[in-house]
Amino acid sequence: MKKTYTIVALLLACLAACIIFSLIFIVDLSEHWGIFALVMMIFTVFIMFLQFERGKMTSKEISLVAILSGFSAVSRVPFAAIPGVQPCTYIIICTGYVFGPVAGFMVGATTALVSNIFLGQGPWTIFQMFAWGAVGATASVLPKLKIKGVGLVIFGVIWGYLFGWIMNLWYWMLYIYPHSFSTFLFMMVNSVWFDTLHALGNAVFLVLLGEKTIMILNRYKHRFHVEYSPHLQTSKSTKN
Amino acid sequence: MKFAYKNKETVIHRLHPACKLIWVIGILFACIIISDPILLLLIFFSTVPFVIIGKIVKEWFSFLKLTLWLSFFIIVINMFASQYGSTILYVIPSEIPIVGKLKITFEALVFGIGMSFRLIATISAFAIVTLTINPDDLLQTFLAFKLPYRTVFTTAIATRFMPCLLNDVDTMTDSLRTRAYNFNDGKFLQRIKRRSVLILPLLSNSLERAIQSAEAMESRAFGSDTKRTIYKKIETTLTDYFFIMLSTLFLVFLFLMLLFNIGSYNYYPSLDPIYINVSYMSVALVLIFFVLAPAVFSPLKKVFDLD
Amino acid sequence: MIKINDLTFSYAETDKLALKNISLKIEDSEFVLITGPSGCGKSTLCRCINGLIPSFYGGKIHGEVKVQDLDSIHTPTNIMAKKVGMVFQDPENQLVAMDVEKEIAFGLENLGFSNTIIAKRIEEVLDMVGIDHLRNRLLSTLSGGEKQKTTIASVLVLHPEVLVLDEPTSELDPKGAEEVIQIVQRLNQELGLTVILVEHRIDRVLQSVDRLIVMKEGMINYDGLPRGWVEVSQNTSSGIGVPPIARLGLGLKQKKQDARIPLTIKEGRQFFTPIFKQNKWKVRELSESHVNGNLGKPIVKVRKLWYKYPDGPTAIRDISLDICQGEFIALVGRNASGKTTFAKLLNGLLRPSKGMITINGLNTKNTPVEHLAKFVGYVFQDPNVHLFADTVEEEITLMMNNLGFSSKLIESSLDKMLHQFNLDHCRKAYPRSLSSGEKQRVALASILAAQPKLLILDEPTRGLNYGLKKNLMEYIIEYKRNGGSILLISHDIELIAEFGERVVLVSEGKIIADSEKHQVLSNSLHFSPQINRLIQPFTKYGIPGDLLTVNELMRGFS
Repeated sequence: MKKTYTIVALLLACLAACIIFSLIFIVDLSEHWGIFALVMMIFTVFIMFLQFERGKMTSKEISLVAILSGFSAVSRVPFAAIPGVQPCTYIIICTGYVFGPVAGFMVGATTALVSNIFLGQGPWTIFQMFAWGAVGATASVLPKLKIKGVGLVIFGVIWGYLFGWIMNLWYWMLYIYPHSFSTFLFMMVNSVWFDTLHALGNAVFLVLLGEKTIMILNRYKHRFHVEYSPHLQTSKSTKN
Repeated sequence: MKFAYKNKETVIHRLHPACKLIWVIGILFACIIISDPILLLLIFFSTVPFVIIGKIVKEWFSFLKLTLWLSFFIIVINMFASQYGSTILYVIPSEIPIVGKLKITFEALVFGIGMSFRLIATISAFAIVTLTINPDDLLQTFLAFKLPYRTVFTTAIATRFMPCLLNDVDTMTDSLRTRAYNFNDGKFLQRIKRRSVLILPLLSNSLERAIQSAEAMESRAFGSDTKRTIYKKIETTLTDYFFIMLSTLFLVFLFLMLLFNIGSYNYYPSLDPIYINVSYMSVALVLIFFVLAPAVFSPLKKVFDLD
Repeated sequence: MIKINDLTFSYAETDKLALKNISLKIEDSEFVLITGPSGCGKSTLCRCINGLIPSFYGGKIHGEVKVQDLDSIHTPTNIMAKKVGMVFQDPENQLVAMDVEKEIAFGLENLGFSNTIIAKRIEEVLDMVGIDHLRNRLLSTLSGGEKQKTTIASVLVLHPEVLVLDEPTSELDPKGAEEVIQIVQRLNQELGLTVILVEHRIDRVLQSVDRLIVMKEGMINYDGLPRGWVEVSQNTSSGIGVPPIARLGLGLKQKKQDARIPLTIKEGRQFFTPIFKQNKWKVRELSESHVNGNLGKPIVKVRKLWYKYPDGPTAIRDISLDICQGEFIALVGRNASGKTTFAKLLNGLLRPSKGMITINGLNTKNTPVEHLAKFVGYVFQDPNVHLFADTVEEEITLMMNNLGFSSKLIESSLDKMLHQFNLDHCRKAYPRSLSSGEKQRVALASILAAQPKLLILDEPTRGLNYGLKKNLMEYIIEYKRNGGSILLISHDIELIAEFGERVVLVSEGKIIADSEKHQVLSNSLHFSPQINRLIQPFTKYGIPGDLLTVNELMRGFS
């Protein structure tokens, strides 16, 4: 529990640092702040990776994170024909919700990495890793705040927009000048249609499948429980 | 969806992944610090030989096509958003609330074009790398660099299972279609709903795979307390070191450029004049050299590596 | 030596005992075959030997398992791995690397071996398993059999003393399965490796194992020599497949004869020679089922069909064929001979490159899959890709709803299906939680509820034991009796010999033979059932050379 909060706090601190630094640089209208923000983002992703690294090396956890990432990456295939809508975000939310911040972040980041092996890597990869990772990590706070049902759906909608805005950053930073509020607003307005679809998709998935998905993942989580019993009811067995 | 990477026997494919990785980071870095449109265009053109030698022209084009729309968008935004230029082309007659009167300047147009060069150069380099690095080799390289093992291994397993899971999606889609299930019925929401029946069965199958895979890993001593070693299959040869060094020098050179503010170019309030003098030429040449180096020297690998 | 003492186990969150008071001793270098119906606890027992149970799975455990002097119950699996090598059912889920060599190296890396030792051991094991030629191949380019051989190699590289294989061949085609079994036999004979093999198709291995253990409901039902079990004739009906030759031996065994029941064709030739010599073959003509007279009008017409995959090989070459109402066609052929492609062309998932298919008068080229579904039902091999709904009821009505049946019709059809397929008790159950036999039945019921004219089954019996197979075939025959047509794709020659009628043999996308089963399946080395191969030299005693099954042969002597 303590770990959860530290990690989320760390993440928020990084975000805040990003924003503060970018504010300074926007005022400064410096040329090279793009590199800086990029470095910050890579830094955040690395910190989370190191968190993951610190855990014990168990095959269960690794294969779970790996396969959930793969699953989340392929789950967008059936929806390829509907622009903006993909179930990745909702799956990552559910993962973070059930398995905690580190697994949530890892599934988010790995989803981005893996799906881009197929769709093409680019400067956006690191932003996607960061954004989806943050989705997973923040979702882990929800069960502690006893948020579910409608709250979960609202959370999904918020991340639909937030995700879009983080993703806008990569080319806003590198290719648009000046880095002013109005250009950022312009970018956001431009992508608002796409982000709305994303948010709407998240809402639909969470309403339709959210509860069941969380149930399935919870069942998986509780499935492996060891008990050494010296006196197992052998009477039962002899009866048969 | 298919792997972007295809196994082809070309010198570009055979280059050490680390070399290509440093190279692409270098280009990304270069594109960020350089704002001079001519240099950016030069970087883009210098990546083209890789495409030809690597025999990936078709795939590369399909990557670039995606950027066309984005470049257009970048030009448009910059044109409207930037009010710093001095050569006015057009003033939008009516006032826009909040923003005020907008003018379109020649400088902003050129800036937009310069930035689209920057975009195309970056995308081209990333496309080349995505298309020619075997994801597995790349992960092996990460491991060799002593990057966090768990993270890299997790990614490797995820990559490994992708084709499997994709196959599951295809079979399940087919299975529903042969049961007269129409995925395209209805409007937007209805369509999402109809398609989403695939998700939970797919999740159950995936979790089942996760258990089986974990079992198999466990049965092969994964997670034992002994410190893990890594069996290196990609041998790093002398020529590989040469390439990695070359790519690293590229980074050093870029750092120096950043330090001495070379390659930055002022678009506003009016375009800097471009002097094609000796120092400019030499910077351009060194830049081209570094970008091209892996492609130019790659035949070396054939000569010196006897495999 | 493996010693299991009074082992009882139940999985977490259930009270059902998966193993009940198992006691067992397995000597070094023994080759043990464990079999039994699905859910009998054979896989659970395997997992106790290398400690996956309980350290991985959890649950309640009592008793003792010892491998040499290691205590499996309290030793983590990753340490047991040095003593016990474990190979699982689906090769796809066991692989972790991208190419063969790295896959094999994985276990040694985990144990911290140096590069030079790893390289040396890989070399050894590649030879041992005989996959040297695959060493640099990407795993994704390997066939199922080759993948499973790689997993065996990747386990052997740790130099285990015991090799445990949990249904290693059930996901493989016959050729791959044969090769895997051969490797296992060789490892046992040449290296003296203790082998514990779990299989439900025991006819292939029965003759080469030292010991057979049959399990039922978590207990050991039989433990002894394989022949001893076969000789108790009532066992043949217990749902576990016995080689046809042994069944024939039991059926024709004479009272005085004290020779042992044959398990292989070689033994069979010796065993049956006196019998066939003495008893004259009585029936001249084979009676029924040779000629199928009462066929309806053709519902599927295939004319000069060609199919080429986009940027792929040509899979179908010039196939023409009719499928009539009430006909049962079995499609056989090697792997990648175009069987599944052909099936997918019939239901519209693929469209002909050249030529034409009409189904009930509709051209598949311009009819959507969803419309063709009304006429063509397709049952996929793995029921897990077939189950989508929350309850069995919904699963069965899904297709009828899609086709817009009236609710009255749906209701009556549902009841009929539930009853016919013996699913009444799990009407509201979650389909994925059912047993494998039940899952298969739900899948079949969900298709047949919509009353398609043609039913296509793609390898429906792979991974099923003999009892479940027989059940499945009975349902299919019932459907045929009601006027349906069937296209069965299968590698299972014994099954086709027993239940099939018309057999179409394809090779490299072309039809090689298309005729009644006795003509296609007799006198061929690869596609003949065991009985047919057995009787070839006995034709001199008047036995017809085209007999395929035990029953046909027995009838001739009755």
